Amino acid sequence: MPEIKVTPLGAGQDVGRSCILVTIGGKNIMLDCGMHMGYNDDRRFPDFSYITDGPLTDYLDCIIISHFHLDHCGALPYMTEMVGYNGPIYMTQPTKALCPVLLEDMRKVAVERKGETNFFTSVMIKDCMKKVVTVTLHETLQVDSDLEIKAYYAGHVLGAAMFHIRVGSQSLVYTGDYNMTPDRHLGAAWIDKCRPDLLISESTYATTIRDSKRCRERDFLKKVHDAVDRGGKVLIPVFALGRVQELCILLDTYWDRMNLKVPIYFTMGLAETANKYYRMFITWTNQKIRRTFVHRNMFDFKHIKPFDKSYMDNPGPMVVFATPGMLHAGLSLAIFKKWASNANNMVIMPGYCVQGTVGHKILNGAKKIDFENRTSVEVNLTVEYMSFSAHADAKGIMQLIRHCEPKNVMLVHGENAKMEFLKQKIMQEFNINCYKPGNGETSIIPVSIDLDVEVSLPLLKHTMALPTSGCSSSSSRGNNTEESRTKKQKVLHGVLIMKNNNLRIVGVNEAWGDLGVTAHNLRFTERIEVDEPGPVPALTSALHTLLSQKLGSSQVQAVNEFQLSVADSVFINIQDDEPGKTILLSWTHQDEGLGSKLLDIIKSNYKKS
Amino acid sequence: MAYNLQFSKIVVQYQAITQASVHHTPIKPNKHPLGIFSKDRAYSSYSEFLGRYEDLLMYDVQGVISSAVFRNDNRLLLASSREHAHEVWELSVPEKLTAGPDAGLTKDRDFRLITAGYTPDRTKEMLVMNSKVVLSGPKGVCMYNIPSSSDPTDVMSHVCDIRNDTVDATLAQSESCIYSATNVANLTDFNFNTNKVSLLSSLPSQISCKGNDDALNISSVVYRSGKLYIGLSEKGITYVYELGTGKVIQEITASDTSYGFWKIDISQDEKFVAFASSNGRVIVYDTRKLSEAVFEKKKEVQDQTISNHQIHFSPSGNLLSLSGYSKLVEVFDVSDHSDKTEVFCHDGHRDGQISTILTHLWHPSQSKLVFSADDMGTLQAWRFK
Repeated sequence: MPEIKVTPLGAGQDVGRSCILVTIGGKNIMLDCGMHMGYNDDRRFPDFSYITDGPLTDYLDCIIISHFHLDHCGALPYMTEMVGYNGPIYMTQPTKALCPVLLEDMRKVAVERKGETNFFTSVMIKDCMKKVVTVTLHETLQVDSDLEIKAYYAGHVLGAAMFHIRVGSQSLVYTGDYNMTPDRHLGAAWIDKCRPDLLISESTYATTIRDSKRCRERDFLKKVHDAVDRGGKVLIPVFALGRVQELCILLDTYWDRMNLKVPIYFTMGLAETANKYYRMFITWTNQKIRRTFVHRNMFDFKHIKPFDKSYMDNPGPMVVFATPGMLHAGLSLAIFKKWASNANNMVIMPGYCVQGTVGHKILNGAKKIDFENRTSVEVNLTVEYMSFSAHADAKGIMQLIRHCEPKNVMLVHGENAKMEFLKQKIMQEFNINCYKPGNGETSIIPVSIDLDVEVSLPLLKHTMALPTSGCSSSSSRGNNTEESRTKKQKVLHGVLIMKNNNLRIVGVNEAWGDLGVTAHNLRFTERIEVDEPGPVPALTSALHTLLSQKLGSSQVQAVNEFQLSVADSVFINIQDDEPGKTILLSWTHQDEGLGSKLLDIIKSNYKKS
Repeated sequence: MAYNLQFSKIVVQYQAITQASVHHTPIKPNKHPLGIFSKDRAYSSYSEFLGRYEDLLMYDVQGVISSAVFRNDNRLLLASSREHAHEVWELSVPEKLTAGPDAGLTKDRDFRLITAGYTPDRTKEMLVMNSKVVLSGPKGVCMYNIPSSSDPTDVMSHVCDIRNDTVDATLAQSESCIYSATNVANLTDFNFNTNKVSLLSSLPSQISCKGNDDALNISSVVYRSGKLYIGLSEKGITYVYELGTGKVIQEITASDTSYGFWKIDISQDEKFVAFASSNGRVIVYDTRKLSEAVFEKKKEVQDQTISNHQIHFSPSGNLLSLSGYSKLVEVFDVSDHSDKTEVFCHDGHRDGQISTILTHLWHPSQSKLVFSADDMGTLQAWRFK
């Protein structure tokens, strides 16, 4: 039984280190190569020794990266340069453009802020990216003669893709992180009804029923409004290509509705980076952004203006979007240092922060931050966390399954070790198996090979016209066959011909023609010597009578004085063979049964002396 | 003169148009940040809508919620049906709601599915007793087990059938028993310790039967300190039955004796009894002074045959909540005799396709926190100011 083997890698049950090994049709593929952001030691990398100790080039046919988030690509330079891999790495263009940016950022934080020594270098990041082959959406790429991959739009972040992998007749879809509902700057995930043998889906939010986006936005707006109402300043550290566009649109519209006059700013670096990448990858955003770009620059808002460093000291309320997102360096950190001591102010962290950054510290409740240059800052401002990340929840996963109709489903990276109910639900609703391997566990998914076979029409008609199996007597033909034809099974006898990569079942006679083979007939003849005196016709007549008695007169025909035929296919010749007679009984191999029966009758009645 | 008048009119119109085009940006309902508003809402109501709530969260449950009950402060049980699939879920209440308004930074605002199970039919009512959930539906009353965190599975499993002679029975619970009934003649108690079902046989004889058996159908049963308050469904009458003695000690009649589908609730401290009927009458009495109602209301009801109307007292006792007559959930203060206007009206269920609120319930300990579910599968959690 052919099968697909899947093993998620890494230690522990934690979410955050996507790396899945798949063996399909004899090919080994690694899906994502993420780093766990919560650990500082080797536990943050997937355990590559599971594959082999040493370089992995010979053991993997390719690596596929779904998007640029560090928990999906963070360990890539480590794997390719420090463990060793020289094969192809596939990802979409935006992912290829953005991965090195994030990896470099992370490297800086790790090495310069946390003082790590055994970390990959900038050169390693560059070398790693040289091995990347980009994939365009909906383009089928041949990795080698058997393996092909295709990327689909996944929403979630710029450049995120779901991958369809096919080897021969086996296929699977890996979703990475995806989002089934469109948001303000990205569309929703879309895949065609590809009916893969296996769908591997992230299940981080599989058992979550998420609060509606509008309510989260309402809370965000309320917080900002409350803070500026009391004269406070609001700092929102963002990543240039994350949710900032969403949040800006949200605030701009709200400010407009509420007729607010408080200034909102974005830092120039943020705008430049965002504009550059969105312009480059405009086809990856949604319709609205594209239309906007035609008329104006993405950061041309009614109420949101470019920031100048000097504004930091301006009195009165204001809102500022600034990079970097984790408050570990740059302008957002400088602003934070200025504003942190005032209790009227607020900082809203829009996402995950890596350990070691100021963002991480304040999210964990730190009330005082110390810096390298012996300065420190009191954290009196309100710290808020607002996650707008777009992930598929329980509803989204079911939608995706319903849409692409896989034969099996696998859920990976769910926090919840127990997902019996969800597995049951998937099995009940879609009648398919659901797997949930833990890290290091291998799931084996049996794959049935479906072959499409054409059936020739004449053969089909012939079979349909036959009486149904089990109805032996002709009397039951009457009424029963009409209705039982639809319910009872019929056995189709035919010849399976494989020609030019397609399969046909045809009737025997058609087959002769198709194959250019002459039909051969097999005929047996038995010689029976009997002691019958008298003329040949007498024996013929006696035989005729005998056989008519045994088989029914309709079956036996006298062809002439010395020949009989039974059921139009078995022939009996009587010859004169002084002093006795010779009966020649001849039948084709299809009439074996009848032939043997006749032989028995003749032999038992005419014994040779 | 006429010429001048016309000219000035034109000028005025011109001004109006230019003003409009300068300040008025077209409202696109779907793209609005708070998209749930329809075109004709004025600007001021946005801040009003925001301002009225301390917290407002909305969830798409993807199924019709037929029943909901809190297991404790952090766990909510929902019975949800989608065509032929009927499920019971145990959800963790988001920390954002349970932590209270001064909690500071709380990240968790989503429900998480902790355990769940399939039931063969839609659930009408549910109650939780320790780690078991009792469900009443079209085939009777049965009990399911809620797996604990140390169980390897998260699937709720059927334990036993308690009774199968009732359709959509109403339920009530005391410390050790579950009471179920559809009619005065079939009110039984199920004792959790002994697993025995027994009929409260002394009850029917004490209640005079005027007319047919249906007149004694029960819509609500509420347990309060050793007593059962039994509300008839066809008339506004509640009987107070003392469990220890087996005697009906009181009969409370609503001033409105019209026919309808009546439901009742009793405040936790037994100070108030509230009646609500399908024809829109809502009447609340002080149990110590039944001669006159402390609160009365007449709701406009199009469909007099509604049966999903609900009336609840808040856990603290003074607030009365009402739903099922429209898309709103209304909250009143019954202890305040002077002011008959409502304390709060929740109108978050605004989707055009919603026709009614199916169920609503108060959080057991957080004040002013209410959960409501409509017939389009939306569950909302709201804390009003």
